Amino acid sequence: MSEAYDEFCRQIEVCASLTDLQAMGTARILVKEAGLDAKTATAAQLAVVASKLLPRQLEFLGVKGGEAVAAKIGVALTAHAPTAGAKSAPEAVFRRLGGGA
Amino acid sequence: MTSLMAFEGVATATFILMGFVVGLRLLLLAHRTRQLPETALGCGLFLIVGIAYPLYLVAIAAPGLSLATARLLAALSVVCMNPGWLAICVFTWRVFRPDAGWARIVVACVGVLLGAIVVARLAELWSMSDRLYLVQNSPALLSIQATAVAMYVWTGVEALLCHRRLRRQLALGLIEPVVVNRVALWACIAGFGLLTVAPACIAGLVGQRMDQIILIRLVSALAGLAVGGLLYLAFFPPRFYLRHVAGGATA
Repeated sequence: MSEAYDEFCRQIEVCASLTDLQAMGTARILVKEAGLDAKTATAAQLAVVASKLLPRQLEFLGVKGGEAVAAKIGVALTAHAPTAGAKSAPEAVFRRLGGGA
Repeated sequence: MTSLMAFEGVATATFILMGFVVGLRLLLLAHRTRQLPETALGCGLFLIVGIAYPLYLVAIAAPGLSLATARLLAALSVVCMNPGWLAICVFTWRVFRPDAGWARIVVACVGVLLGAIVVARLAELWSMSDRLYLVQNSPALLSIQATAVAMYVWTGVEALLCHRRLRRQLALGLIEPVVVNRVALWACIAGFGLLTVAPACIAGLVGQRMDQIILIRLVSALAGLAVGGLLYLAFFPPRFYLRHVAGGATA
């Protein structure tokens, strides 16, 4: 798993007051829904996932103030986790193949 | 010269030119980035389409060529083509399944298989008494075609699966439309590439020669033309196309 993904799980657990298993399950569902790979996901990508997909998921789990929690997680992600993406992810490779090295 | 032959000529020339240019461009990119995927894909396209295919065409079709020269060109073609297919296999593994143990085993098996096919084909070439036999079906020639079919299917299916995932990223604005489009184009390249080889392979399996069936020649020529055009759009995208893809995504 990428460092950003681990941080994402930790932030969900802390900010939404979920158990570690609930947090990991939530993160896994969201990353899959967003079409990301947990091994290569960056902090910037996960911050977008937090803002666009997390509130609905938190609401489903019965967490109050999902929007605010998601915003807090987004800010924490960009502040704490590294933002560099993996060079080997398919999207990174196909980006380079068009000339964008 | 019939109109079919003229069309085949144009399609083949487009296919070879684009394979050569795109392969070379990717190798130059690999020289800059030092990354394996672009090195593998560049080698694959350059060796298969840019070098091996024209050498084979000259060997079988150039007028006035001696048997010894034709054999040598056909041998060089095989020696270039099979490492090219291995490179495409490595590209597919490194890009789409870098952590999968089974994919590593597939690459190793394909490497051994292609090495064995080179030896078998060289032995066939050296036992031939006439240039006519260069296009005749043989176990080694069919094995090369079958390997190519398998490579196109594997890389095409992986690209389609990847494209489905990237479309979800696109919906959230996590990725540029042109990158998603490039993955789709690679899947299409694999699909049309399959059409250039599979009919000949099937014809060979049922004991027919591809060059004697007009429909197969037409399909192969059309598919070759499509591959040439798609390679251009995917790896040499002109500005108007980039604008079109970006505009289509925002519309």
